[in-house]
Amino acid sequence: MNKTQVLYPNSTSTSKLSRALSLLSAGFLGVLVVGGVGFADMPAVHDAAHDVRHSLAFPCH
Amino acid sequence: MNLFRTLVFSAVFAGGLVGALASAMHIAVTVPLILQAETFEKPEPAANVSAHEHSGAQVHSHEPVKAAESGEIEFGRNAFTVIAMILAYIGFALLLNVSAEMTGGFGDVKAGSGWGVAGFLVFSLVPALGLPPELPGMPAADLFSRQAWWIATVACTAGSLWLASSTKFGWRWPIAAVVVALPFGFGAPHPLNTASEVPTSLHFQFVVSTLLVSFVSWQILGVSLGWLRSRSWNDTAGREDASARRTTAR
Repeated sequence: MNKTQVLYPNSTSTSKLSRALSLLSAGFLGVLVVGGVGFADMPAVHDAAHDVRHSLAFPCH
Repeated sequence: MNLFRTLVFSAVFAGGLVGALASAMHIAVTVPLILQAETFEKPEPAANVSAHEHSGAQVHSHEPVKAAESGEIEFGRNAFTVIAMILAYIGFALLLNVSAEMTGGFGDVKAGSGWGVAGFLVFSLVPALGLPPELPGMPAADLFSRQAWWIATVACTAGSLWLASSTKFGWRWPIAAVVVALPFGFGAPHPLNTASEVPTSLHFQFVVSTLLVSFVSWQILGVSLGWLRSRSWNDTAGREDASARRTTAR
């Protein structure tokens, strides 16, 4: 048993949970940003991202 | 949340860089084709104006404007394009980061280039096989059904790549092929009347140039993320909360 495991017997499960939360949050943020630029139908967002939507082949109009 | 910080910082750095480069390439190559296509756009019926209103930077009316005004409009329009493109690539970088981390990390720059190819397939090439990049003024099917098909195709392509590359069971290749073919079996939504005043040659040029610029952009994104994420300073980031443990061990 190494020093870390002695100090934190549950460190592996805590670390796994922390890792899963990090991946989930980063993935959610990514979906939110890509979804906002590519799909948000608010006129202001559509206008600002118009050329990007066409250039990146998102369905537009 | 060391890993979250590392994923976000590297995505912001790589996505920001690629977004800026991609904007420059698109503004030089594909945006002029969009502007050209807009001259073929028919004015929309008054009842639909609110839904497709283009205000501020995205003026679609073709009334004569003074040269100075036209320059200002173009500058504003391109500024919004740069901001939106940077945000889009930061989002793509986050998704690429998460996918790579879930399947064992980037490893090195070469692996990053492979992830760039995967990103291009998932978000550009495969959806474009069913719904080719559109120019303004071209007829298209209902927006919601095209968006739903695009999202389903992205999900199926990503799932198919994961099955083929990260699983070991015997039937993974045929199953991956079926998964990627599913949205095509269902059929991409197309309008009944495809007649358009936008010349076919202009559309062809647009499709080829957007895909080429996207491929280059995805390569730069994959390579820069591969380089950033394989540096020694973040080797263990997030896999264990190293800083907390160091503090406790003292």
